[in-house]
Amino acid sequence: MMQDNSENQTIDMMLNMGPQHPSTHGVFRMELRIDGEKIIDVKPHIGYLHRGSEKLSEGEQYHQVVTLFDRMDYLANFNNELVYCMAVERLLDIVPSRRTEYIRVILCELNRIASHLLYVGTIGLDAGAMTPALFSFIGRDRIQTLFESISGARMMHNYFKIGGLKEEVPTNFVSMVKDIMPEIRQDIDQAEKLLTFNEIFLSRTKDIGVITADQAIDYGLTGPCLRGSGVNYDVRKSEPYSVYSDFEFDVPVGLDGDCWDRHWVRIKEMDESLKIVEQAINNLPDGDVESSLGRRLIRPSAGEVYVKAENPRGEIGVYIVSDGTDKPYRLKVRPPSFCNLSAIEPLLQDSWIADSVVILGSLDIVLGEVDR
Amino acid sequence: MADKSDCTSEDVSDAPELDPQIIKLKTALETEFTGVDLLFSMTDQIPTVLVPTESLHDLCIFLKTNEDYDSKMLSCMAGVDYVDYCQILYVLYSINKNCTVGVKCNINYDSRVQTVSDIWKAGDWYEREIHDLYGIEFEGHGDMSPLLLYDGFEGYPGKKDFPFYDYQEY
Repeated sequence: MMQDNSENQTIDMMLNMGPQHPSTHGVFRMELRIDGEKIIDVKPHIGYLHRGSEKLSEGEQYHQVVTLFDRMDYLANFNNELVYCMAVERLLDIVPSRRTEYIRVILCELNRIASHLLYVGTIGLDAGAMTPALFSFIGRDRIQTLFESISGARMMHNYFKIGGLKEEVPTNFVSMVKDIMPEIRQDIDQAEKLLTFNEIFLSRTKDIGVITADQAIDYGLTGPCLRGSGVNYDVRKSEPYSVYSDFEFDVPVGLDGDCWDRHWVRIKEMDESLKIVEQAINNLPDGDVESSLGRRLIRPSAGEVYVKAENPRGEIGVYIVSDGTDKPYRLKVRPPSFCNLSAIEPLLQDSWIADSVVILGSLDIVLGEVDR
Repeated sequence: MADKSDCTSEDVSDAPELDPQIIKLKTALETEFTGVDLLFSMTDQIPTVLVPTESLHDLCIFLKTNEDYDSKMLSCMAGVDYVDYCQILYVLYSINKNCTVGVKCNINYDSRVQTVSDIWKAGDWYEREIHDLYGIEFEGHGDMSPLLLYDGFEGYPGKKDFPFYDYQEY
């Protein structure tokens, strides 16, 4: 009955995954060379969402560039606005008021939770679980509603100004934040209980997509992707910016660098973010949030600046070259997702097609930021 | 007045506000790279060295393997078009030492520069991006196909002379 298969040859097949594929989290194409269900080789293709944001900002005045940063990592708008504002503030050598800094940190940390909650939903969908997405989106919606009442927009807020904020927060800001905090904690718990230690989820993510610490550093991975591999690196701790040195929080670090560790780091990070929000809202200083620049045209003296910050996806760097005019001579963004995605080649090699979806999901990329 | 002008002219040429970070970098590099024309400055808060194209690759390896700098991570690579030449800034970071070093390199548009993608894997995509936007050729880089732009795109949109606002795709 047994047939001799030694003469049967298999040839590799090319398979295009994307650009329109729900699991690629945007417009992203992977050219897979597969042998049966096994991935032999992968060639990622990006650039479908390339809008030339960096070049566009060379033609905009400094205060107009904030809107372009909103549209890069569209899941972490406040964090992106913060890093740009910090860069220009350092170029101008001005320091915003303490109240401004505290409100910025509160909003950024809430945005981090919102971004990670969306991640929890999507990784669930990638692994075949529908329900966590429903719970996590309730939590995300609470945060976005808060953002809407502050800035007037659920996304693309354009709320941080160079040197300050666009306007004072609503009078009931403190009570609003305090009200939603227990609810968000509950949402995180609910989404987590359904997923993190679920047996099916564990078998889909544990020991899948392993990247070692050395390899991760070599590829320039940052954020939860790097911390999942056991490297304790967080810009908020290593080079504290804004007022992060005022708060006590831990940096969760994984062990094995697999998909589950990256997931676990993000879950724990949400708890730490809540800690920061709690400390900040309880010690919110009084004062002014108006920029000391007023409505003047921003014209920094010639010079260069490189500023980095910790976004939900990792380290974002902004390099601005100023030639003394009202527009940046060159603006370069080091997007975290760009580097995280470049590690897809070693991660996908010799894995299964079904796992590729989970591995890509665990990197948590935003294509708006990869392509800029 | 005469005293003052003498003093400033000397100060600028010999010791332009010697930052301790700069001194450290200078002593580390000058013993290793004798006869190489190195220029030290601060980019914001990052000690930076401007290096000739020929020594770039060796200097990057030195900074990666040197114990004091231990720059295992290539944090950022940024190209800047200064019309006559292109300047590339490499931001190197060490997680163990928590220190950042900048390396700058001026490249003429008609010449090539050696790749750093064999030193840091992160350099792979950065170099492809810079090739897309500025047309710089990286020697030893295996795959220079367009990354952010599509196949067959003409021109280098990062350059200042690219007609950005007049450009019509269709």
